[in-house]
Amino acid sequence: MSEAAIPLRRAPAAARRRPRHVALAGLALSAPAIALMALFLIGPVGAVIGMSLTDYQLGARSWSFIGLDNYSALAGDAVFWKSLGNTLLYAAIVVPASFALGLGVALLIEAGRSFRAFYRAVFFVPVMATLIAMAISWEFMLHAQFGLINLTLISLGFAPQAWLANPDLALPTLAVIGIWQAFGFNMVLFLAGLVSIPRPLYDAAAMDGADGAFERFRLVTWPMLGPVSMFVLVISAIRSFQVFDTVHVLTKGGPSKATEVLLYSMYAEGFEFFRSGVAAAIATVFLVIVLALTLLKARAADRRVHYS
Amino acid sequence: MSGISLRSIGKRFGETPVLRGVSLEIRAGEFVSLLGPSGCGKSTLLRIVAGLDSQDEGEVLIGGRDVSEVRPSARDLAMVFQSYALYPHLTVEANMMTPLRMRDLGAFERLPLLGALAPGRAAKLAAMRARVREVAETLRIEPLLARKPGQLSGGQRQRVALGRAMVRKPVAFLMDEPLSNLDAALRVHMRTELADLHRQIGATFLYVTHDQVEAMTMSSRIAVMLEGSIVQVGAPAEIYDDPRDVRVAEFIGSPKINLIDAVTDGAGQPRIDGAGRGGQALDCAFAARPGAALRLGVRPEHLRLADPALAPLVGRLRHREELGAETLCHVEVQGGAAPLVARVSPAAARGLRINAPVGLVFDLSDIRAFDAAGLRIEAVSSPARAAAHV
Amino acid sequence: MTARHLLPALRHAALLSAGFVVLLPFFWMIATSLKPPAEIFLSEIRWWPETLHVRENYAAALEKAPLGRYLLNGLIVTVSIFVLQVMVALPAAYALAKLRFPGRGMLFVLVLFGILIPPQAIAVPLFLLFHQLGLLDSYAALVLPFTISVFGIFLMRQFFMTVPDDLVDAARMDGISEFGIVWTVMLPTAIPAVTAFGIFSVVSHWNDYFWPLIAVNSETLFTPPLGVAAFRNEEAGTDYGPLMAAATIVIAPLVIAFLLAQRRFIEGIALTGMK
Ligand SMILES: Nc1ncnc2c1ncn2[C@@H]1O[C@H](COP(=O)(O)OP(=O)(O)OP(=O)(O)O)[C@@H](O)[C@H]1O
Ligand SMILES: [Mg+2]
Repeated sequence: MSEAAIPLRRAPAAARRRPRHVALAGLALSAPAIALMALFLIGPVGAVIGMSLTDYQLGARSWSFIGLDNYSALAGDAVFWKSLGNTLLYAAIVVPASFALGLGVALLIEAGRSFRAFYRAVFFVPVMATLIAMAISWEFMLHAQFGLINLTLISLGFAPQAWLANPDLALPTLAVIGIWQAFGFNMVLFLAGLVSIPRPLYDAAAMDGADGAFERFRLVTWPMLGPVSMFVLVISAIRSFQVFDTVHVLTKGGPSKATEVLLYSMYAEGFEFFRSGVAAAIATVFLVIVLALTLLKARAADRRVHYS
Repeated sequence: MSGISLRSIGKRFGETPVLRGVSLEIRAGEFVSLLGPSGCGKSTLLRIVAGLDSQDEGEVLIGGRDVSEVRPSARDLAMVFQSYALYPHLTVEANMMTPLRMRDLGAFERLPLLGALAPGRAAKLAAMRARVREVAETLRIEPLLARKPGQLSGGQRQRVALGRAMVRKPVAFLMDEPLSNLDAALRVHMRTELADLHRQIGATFLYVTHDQVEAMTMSSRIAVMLEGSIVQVGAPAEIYDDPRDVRVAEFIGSPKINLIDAVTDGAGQPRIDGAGRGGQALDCAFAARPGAALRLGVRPEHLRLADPALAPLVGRLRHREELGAETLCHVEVQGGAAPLVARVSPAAARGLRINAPVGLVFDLSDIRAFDAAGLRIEAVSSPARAAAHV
Repeated sequence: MTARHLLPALRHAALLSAGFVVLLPFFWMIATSLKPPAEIFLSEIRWWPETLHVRENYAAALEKAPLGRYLLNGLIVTVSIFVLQVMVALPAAYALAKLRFPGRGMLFVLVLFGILIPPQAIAVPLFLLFHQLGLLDSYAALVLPFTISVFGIFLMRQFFMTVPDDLVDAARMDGISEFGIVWTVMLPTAIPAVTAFGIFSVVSHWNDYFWPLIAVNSETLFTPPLGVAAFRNEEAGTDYGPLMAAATIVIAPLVIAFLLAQRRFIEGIALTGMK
């Protein structure tokens, strides 16, 4: 019995109902997510850009569209440049230091077999402990008179410092707290990267005569960690740009704007002076920087593929 | 238990047609295998029968009723998936009970805690448990009821998947390559079990496979599917002996059927191109125009070794596969494209050296002729059952 | 001693001293919370108090600030956020992974874009929105903005992509509705992923300071970080014992949970790396 030559005819519309049923289910199941995204995420992104073009102030009766005036005002505002510069400086300290510490600790942990989980946990605690509470502990350790750090310096014969009150020291001090908090996270990423390096590569390196620890690192570990390193770098940068908690609790941007950072400026404009338009302009600048960094990360993620 | 009719089912994914007007009648209680190479659309067809996909054209009738608008669970079919698709978080018993719970318990009765308050629920659950036990007994999986799928072997999972399909007493079973994840020995074993099971419960089975041995050994009938069309439907022996299409002839049988090019002369008698003593027409005739190109199919077991001086086909022995009970001789025929394979007794092939000249003979009644388009051409007069000695 | 013994010893020496520095702020916080004022304001390093002042400091902390209330608020807020996030994200993730519907591609692009947006950048319009709705200074203000977790949708979608289609089809054959499939089939198979996401979500919202600072004023609504910051501002650097006791109480729940389930916590929080 070969196939009967019955001409194909169109099925009644009902026969197509099954996919439509699925399509309806798909829409219904994602409807809450779509609505909430519009309300709390995508909408506000549009709003923040829109607001940055107005002179809106919270509570004001009227507002008008002022084009790029907020941005040109920012461009002419020394405090804004100071804030941007401080943020960059903070990142410039925290990113390399937390990168190097994270990598170093990960290498040390991986170098032996004993107490791995213990060390990993020790270095990870600061990542998840409430930063505000820990900032308060740091503040007391940094206390000019009774702080552990100055007491240690004195007992070693050095001069005590006013860590958070000295404009030259305040930002680097906050950066140290930032490093302390962040590098355990980088360590976890590096540990994952180290575990995924294939053992045979080290054997091959040994056969090729690279048997010293440094040689092995240069020939195998470092190149194989390339993509993870890129990733860690960008993640740390994004997180450093978001520095706020320590500034708000410990220095409020002072002394004399020495620790004024981008998010703190935005917070002050938006929620202390209620100049929503200006705050929105700073938020937009912040958004653009973070998005640019994320694009870098996406490029890094692409590069990962070449190694697999 | 009821039959399934497929009426010119068509299906496209985007612009690519995957099913081209498939029609098939499956009678109640029959075991029909859908056999075809990978990618020919078997799973797609099965999913349309199940209601998991919708056809673009044609209709599906179950027990004479058009089910195109009916949800999968309301079609009263059960499906056994290639990957078994057991719920990993549920025990074997809970897995097997799921279709019963969904069918027999109301929405309120299924609620996690409140459901327990519904009157009569306990009795229903007890009935379901009894049914699950009964099926588990049939499949000999009772000791596994408390385990989770992750703690079962492949064969046991297979049985649980069957059990989940059986508890509901569906009108028909749909199975998509249910044995392909098992190892070879277990597959042979499960073939027998499935055939037994079919005899025992007498339900309608529609069984998808690309393994011809499975199809041949279990089915009442086989539907051979190629490139989105069903090319032939018939009992296993019929498909093997009487292929209506050269692709069916080629797909069924291992080693593959030998195909020999020939041209008909004025009397419709085929003449094998430039072969051996050939040049002479074979003493049989086919319903083809003079000068038409033919392909003559001869199964390996129908070729015999003979004295090259007397045989219609002559060539050299290229390769010999000793399989113990039989020997496969690969013979390169002058002018022929691929070597011909003869399946002979080890005794007949003994003493033949590689590259030795070999003659091949066959019964004229074992020839299946196909035209240029691949369709079968009938012999005009059934030739005497004589060897092709001319 | 040969190099074979020396190297592990060096490794431990390096890691232990680094670990000591890292844990120092925790140690100092706890030690201070146990000291009487006389031992806190001391011009020499005293690692451990000579007279313990535990009861006094912790009682003072609990008396001066409603710490229990803050912790309860933290619990209410983080649990509500997580539950709502799952209720919103799981169905959407299932739809994105397993159902074909118009706009699916667009929705996924929006989800990916949403992941890139730092929450602080949209705080101003969100504040105005809640101001308009009259919802500022309420649990709703603390919870609602985070009910949509695009990252959660993305994560669960990636997980659901690995669930075989056959399982979904089997559930359909068994008569389970699409809505039922989400909760009775997908959720149970996704427990490990949901757990990791839960830890990620709870830790980040327990520790969040920026949004609660903006959204609420009333002390009764303070989350633990807000509460301990407020405590510190009132104390203005005079009474460190109770302050450190308060800080210890605030970090204790998460740190204890972390010590009990390190591996899961590290997995869960390392997820932020994907964000
Ligand atoms: N969702 C889909 N979208 C696009 N093409 C599809 C889809 N599903 C199947 N196809 C295509 O349809 C054709 C038939 O697929 P089907 O799964 O029915 O094959 P099959 O005969 O079951 O093969 P196998 O033996 O490998 O399972 C294949 O070419 C496949 O690529
Ligand atoms: Mg298939």
